[in-house]
Amino acid sequence: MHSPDSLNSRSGRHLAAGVDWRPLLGLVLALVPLVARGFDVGPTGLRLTALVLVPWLVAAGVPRARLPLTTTRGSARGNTTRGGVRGAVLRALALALPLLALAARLDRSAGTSLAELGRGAGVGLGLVALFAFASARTPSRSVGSARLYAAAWTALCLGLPSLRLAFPEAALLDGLWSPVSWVASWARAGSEVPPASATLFASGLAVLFLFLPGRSSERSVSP
Amino acid sequence: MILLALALGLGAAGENRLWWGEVALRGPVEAAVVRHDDGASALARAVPAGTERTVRVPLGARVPGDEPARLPRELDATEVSGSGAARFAGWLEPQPASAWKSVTPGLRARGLPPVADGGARPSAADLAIVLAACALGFGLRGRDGARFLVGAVAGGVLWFLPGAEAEPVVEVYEGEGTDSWVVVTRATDRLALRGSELRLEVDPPRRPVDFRREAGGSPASEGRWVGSSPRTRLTSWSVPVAVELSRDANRFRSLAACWLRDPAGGWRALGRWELGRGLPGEAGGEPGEAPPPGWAASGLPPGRAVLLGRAEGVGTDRETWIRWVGFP
Repeated sequence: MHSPDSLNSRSGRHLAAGVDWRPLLGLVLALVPLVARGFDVGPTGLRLTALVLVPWLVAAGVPRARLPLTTTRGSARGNTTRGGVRGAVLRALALALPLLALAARLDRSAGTSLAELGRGAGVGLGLVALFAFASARTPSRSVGSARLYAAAWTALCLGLPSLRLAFPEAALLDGLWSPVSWVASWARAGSEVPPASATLFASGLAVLFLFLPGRSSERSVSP
Repeated sequence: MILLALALGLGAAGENRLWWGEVALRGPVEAAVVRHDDGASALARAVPAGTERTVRVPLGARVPGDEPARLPRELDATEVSGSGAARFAGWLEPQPASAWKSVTPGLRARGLPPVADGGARPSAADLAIVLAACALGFGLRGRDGARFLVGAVAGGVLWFLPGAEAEPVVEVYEGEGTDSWVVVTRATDRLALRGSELRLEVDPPRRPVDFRREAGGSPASEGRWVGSSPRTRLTSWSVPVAVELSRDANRFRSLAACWLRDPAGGWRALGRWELGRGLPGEAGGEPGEAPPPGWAASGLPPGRAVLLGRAEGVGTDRETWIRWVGFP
């Protein structure tokens, strides 16, 4: 059996090597379908910007089991420190921005208005940042808040879209509460960006779970 | 010849994707969208509370055999913004497309002007920047601020990199004899409707076509309908307003270049044909040298005089041609 400290220390060294699989997963899931199709959205007429945002939104918010670590700058041995929360948000955004900008430019040339792209990509990036922050912050807060966030993320990003598919006529499940469904509803060419109030409210509520009192995390991070 | 042209894939050979329906709106409605299997049409039309209006809407439905009688009786869904209601009230009768069969067969079979195959694609440089930025982002271990800076700069560069220039809309005034005219308009990705269209085709076929009303036209108008289908060539056939052109006087457009084919089949370049003047070569104009473009000069019926002209304004967002078989 490994102690939590030793596990975390190994994890810290792993992350210190620069491999955070969440943005990598987002990049791969967003890039592969686009490249495989030659950036041609085909008969479905999807918007490329939305196509890039959906996997990124899901990957950025995947609940974490432990606090993300990052290296101390300039350390040859890669000492691990807390401070991974800000880093996780920056990493998610940094790797999303180039592909998102390219997709938005191609959508713009295909006729999507600048205002529409601004609203869609702006809210989408905000949600990516929000979920990346929440995913990274909860483990350091408490075990309880991490579990609550995991439940909220599962309900928002997996549960609601599934229910929406099962009950398309249900007004309460109109899809706009889930950030994934919100982006997906904008994906189809010709449709307008739906109001973001519902999804922002629901996502904000999920992040509020961070600040609910819970049992403190027993893990510590080896410096 | 017409059969040969059809066999070669010239002219209208696909399916019509422009059908007009009526949507009944009961206010308050800010906007409405009519969806069906082959696209959607968005209406941005405010209807105040307590009032009802019926609006004509273009729909890109696919209909077997292009027979209006086989239009679907009901559409998938109608959505509204606002607490009012929208209902698909039925199809317009008669459909403008019904008049397509009365268009002279020779006009329906004419070769089409070339347009790009649709949609901007990323260049090799675009993809190289994306991959380089991501590789650099992964390489900057622990320097998350620098990673973000790299991503933001790469994103900015990719957004502002000049993409491929927008392809112009190409329109050809096609004439046959003295009184048969049709305007063929071709564009990539999106095409604004004139309002007098008889037919709309998309290439590749079967792609969804969406319509949306956009600002434009006269200030008093409610805008114009624009059909869009990403990465697709759209071609419409519509009825033109009068084309006034004769050997004595050009009252159509100032032509930057024109050519005349005699009934024996020989092409002669005539050069410019200014507005209000007689045909160059016959009324003192300077003859030109360049041969006519292949798409415009091929597939035409033999034994008849043909006038071909390119209007001024090439290089702008619209390229206009006139092709008149049986030029008197």
